[in-house]
Amino acid sequence: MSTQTASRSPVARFRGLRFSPRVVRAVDLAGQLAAPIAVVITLIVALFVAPAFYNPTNLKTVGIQIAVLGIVAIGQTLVLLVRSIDLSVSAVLALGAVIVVQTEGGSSIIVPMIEAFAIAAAVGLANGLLVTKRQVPPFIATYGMLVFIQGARMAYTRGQASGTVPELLRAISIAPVGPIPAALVVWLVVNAIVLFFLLSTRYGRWLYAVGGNPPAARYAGIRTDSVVIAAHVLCAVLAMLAGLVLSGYIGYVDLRLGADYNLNSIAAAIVGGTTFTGGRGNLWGTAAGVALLIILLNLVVVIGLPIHWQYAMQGAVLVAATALQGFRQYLLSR
Amino acid sequence: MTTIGTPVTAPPPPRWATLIRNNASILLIYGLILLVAGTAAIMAPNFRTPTNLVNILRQSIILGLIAIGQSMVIMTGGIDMSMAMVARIVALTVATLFLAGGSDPALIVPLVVVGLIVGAAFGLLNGLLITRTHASPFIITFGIASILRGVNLAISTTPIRGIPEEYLLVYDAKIGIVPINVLVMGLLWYLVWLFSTRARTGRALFAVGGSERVARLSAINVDRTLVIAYVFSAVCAALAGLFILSRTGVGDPGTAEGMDFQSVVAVALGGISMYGGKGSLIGTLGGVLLIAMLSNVFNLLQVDIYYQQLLLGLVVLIAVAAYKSPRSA
Amino acid sequence: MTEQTSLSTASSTVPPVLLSLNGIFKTFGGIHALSGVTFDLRAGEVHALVGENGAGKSTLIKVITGAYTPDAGVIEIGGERFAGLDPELARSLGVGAVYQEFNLLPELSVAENILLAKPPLGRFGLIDTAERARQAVQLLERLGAAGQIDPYQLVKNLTVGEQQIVEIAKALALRAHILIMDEPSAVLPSRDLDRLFAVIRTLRAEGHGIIYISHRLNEIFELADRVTVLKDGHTMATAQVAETNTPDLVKLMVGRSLTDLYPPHDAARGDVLLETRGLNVEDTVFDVSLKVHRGEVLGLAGLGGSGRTTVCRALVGLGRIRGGSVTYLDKPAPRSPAAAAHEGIVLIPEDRKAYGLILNQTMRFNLSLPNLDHLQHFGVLYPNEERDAVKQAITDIQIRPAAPEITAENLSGGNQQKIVVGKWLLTHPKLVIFDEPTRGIDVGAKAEIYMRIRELTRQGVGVIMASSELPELIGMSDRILVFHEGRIVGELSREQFSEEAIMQLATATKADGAGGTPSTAAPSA
Repeated sequence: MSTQTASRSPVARFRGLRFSPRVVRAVDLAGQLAAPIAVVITLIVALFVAPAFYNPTNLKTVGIQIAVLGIVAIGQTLVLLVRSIDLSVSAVLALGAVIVVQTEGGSSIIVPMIEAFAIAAAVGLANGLLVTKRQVPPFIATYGMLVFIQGARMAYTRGQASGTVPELLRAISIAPVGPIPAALVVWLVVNAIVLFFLLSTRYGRWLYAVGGNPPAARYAGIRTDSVVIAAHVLCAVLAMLAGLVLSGYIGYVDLRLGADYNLNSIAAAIVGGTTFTGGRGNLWGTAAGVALLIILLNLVVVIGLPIHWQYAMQGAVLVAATALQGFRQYLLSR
Repeated sequence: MTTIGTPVTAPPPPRWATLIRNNASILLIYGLILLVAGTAAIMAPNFRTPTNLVNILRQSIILGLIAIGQSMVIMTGGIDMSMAMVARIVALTVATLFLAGGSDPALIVPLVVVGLIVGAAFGLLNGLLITRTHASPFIITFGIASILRGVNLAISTTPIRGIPEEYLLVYDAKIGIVPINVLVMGLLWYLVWLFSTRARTGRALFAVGGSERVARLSAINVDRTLVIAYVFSAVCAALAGLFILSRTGVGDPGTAEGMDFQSVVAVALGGISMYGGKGSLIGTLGGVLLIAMLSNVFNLLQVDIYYQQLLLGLVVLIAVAAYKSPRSA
Repeated sequence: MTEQTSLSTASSTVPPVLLSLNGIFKTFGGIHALSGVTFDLRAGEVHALVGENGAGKSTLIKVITGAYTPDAGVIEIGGERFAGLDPELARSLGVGAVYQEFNLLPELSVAENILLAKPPLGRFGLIDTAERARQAVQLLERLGAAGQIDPYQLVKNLTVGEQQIVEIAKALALRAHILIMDEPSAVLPSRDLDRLFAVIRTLRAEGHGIIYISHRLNEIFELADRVTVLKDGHTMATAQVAETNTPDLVKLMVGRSLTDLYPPHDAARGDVLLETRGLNVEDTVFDVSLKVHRGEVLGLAGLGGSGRTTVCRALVGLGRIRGGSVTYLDKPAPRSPAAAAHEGIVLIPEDRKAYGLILNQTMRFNLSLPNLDHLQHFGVLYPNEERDAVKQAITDIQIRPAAPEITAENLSGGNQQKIVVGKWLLTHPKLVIFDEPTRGIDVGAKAEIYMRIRELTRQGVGVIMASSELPELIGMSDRILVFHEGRIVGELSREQFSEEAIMQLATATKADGAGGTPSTAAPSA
């Protein structure tokens, strides 16, 4: 910059500060790889700080929890991709156990399972309709749905939990498939299917288009409302699946089930690189985010910290991840 | 282009038509209030008694405090999901300090100040995080709330006793039948409304919510305005926590559960756009009154507590579904 | 005080130079946006700035407003010399700008918007709303618009023309005397152009200096005193407007003379593709009956708000049809963009960034988006077929650079528009509807798009082209329908084409030039 008689205030000189392209690229890369790298680092640190983590029983627990949160997070990722959000997943997840358990004494499990998924689909449909046809801001619509479902569940069970969990659920959850619990297999299969949809089918393209620029997608001939509604339905159905797997793991109906899955599914997706603004995100990142979160939460218990540290940990990961993502996006948009 | 004729414009629409058009949502919410009040008066005879009506007003103070803070934040296009937990931590902290200080009434004023400072500190934290990292306010405040939830559990899981008797006056003190706090609250609504319509910083909140870019170009310090909004909401939450403390008489670990959601609903019902830049505190007042009234009616009709939650959720869903905000198609 | 630069003439009554740029260089990552640009602005003059997209106009403006700092060169303004400015400094030195995208808050009142930065304060430090309205009216009076705009009215309820006046008043409130107007006529319906020009002339008489950027060369000859032509970041020439003409300017801008722009008409007209009868759309379009044939270009002319865009959108099923019928190939026409695309009717929308592209995705993603049906089997996409289709589109319409993995937002406006056109051409449409096909595009890209349109007609495709640029309509259309206030008021065949004829119909003026009909404020289409 030539230095002729320049009368610029020092503030002005600072205002013109531009982050060098290398810094911008580094932060972008960091945003994309943050989760997997953090997972690796955490695992290494755990070796020294909390070796009990690698106890086979603990690893099995961690595996199942990753699977359950992972399934929910996949659904949440889909919804985030189309600029929406789903805060009712925790309620749907908890609902599953209640519906399926009502059968006592050996009657067929198929019907309640179908009921459960049908109800989940209905919830997703309602969410989707509220968001698309009535243009309710997504977090209000789904939070309202959350309150409503929780109320419905309370009213239905009158605060009492009863019944045993059917064998089938235990089979898809704890039963070992080789060295790993069945739940992980379910998660990997769901991952593979959804990944295929996102990358290799036109439905995946539609998702990214609707999230990237909804009016342009509409002009391009895509039925945007249907895409958003489908994402919500899928999310709810996946949450229900996760709830069934979780019940199989716990073995009984726990009314406090599912409280944290809202926050954590969103956190995992954000940590993994999915944005709120839509059109950006992928399942690898989400999977890494899920692993990171669960491992951290598990370490809290293994190290022996009191349980309420988990809340603090969840919140801290969410805040840190969101802050980093926001910063990364800000740099990219300049 | 060739010259044409003098440009002709249509005569502007009559003033009252524009007035109705610009204030439609406020008219709607107050219409709803009249409707519900009317129905309630018929269905539940004890609804109409002065005591009950005054009760409704007093019940609306807590939600009102939180809704005022929430309104300012939503006006900027953001949202504060940490208000309930801030209220709780203030209540628990102050209660603990009261207990440690031997329930000495002389502590009341200083501890109230401490409570407000604690609130302001968390508001500052929210504001700084949101402005420095350009991250989504919803998630940041949601995350902070989660952290605070853990901290609150660490402080106590059982009620904390040891509040001096004099402090309970904050909730109980009356002039005749009207509690003093209701009057103070009325004054507060007016002052904040004045702030939002006539103070430069208040208008800055609208501007930032309407368009950060335009606000910046008009020499408005966007970051400072946002931080002020979040500090304001946290202080409101602190006030709510202090007020709840006076009502229950103990430091309740369940303080303010769910109030962040309720405040957002009140604000949304009152016509403030969730996207910011539009709306009025008058509408929020309507939303708060409506919710307080509904709660009251449910209790009077002795609706089962489980069904109350269900109904609230249903009412909310119907309200937002019916309230289609006019966004360009 | 003010140093006279070497650009001043020898006359003793020469007005003072408000702003002078000398040897300005600005480089972005190796690309020279500005190379040694000189420019000056005097008090009481309208100085036009012309050039293709990418010539450096907006970069130059950003240097003046302080958004960019030059890498080299001197800015002389307010009697002082600077190596660069920042926005606050520029504003304090009297630089104000009015862009195509207004910086107004629609939910706030006119007075509040105008005085947003510095509202008058009353008791207790609160804003004095009455005084604010008074000051706003004063400013509006200077612009001759006090009677038409109510200071308490919310900005969102104003017409675009009125909003622009508010925007100008806003700049004046900050004491700007160097006013930059970036394509102000692009967003205005023609009936408001008069008012805009009157405002600019008033400001010029008051001694302000106005930098006027426009693609519409005829406006420049009507309004400006001097004109500077930029090309590839260089100042090609600065001339008195009275001493130059359009062909000379165009040659300086592109090195290509005007008439080569439009390919010759050599397509044969086929049978009727689409026909509307008595079409009523929303509350703004009435009784529109038109026919489009294979192989013809049907031009739609009219002032802003006359209903052209509404009709275009309605033909692909966007917007509510309240009466009348649309038939396509003797069947009722499709009622949604998806169905329309399936039948071969496609729309190239007015605003490509908002409605035409997914900006954060690649060129390939965007090009293949409406074509996924043909690139898939049972829902699964075939990458090879996609790659071939994309390559075809790129060569078809000359998209530069030919790199499918580039993100759409990193391309120039002209190439972005080519992607929008290209993606639809891949669907082998039968009827293509263009709404402002070359808005904001450089001359080179324009020519390429015109060629492609001609290609389409040779292949028997029908084309509807709605445009505000009369030369484009006259050059490309076979027939022109003129709209006024939501109705078709005339049809012109090629022999009858002329700018005057179109304008007369568009304003419902009689042949002797009598005034326009009183109009109800029609919302912009």
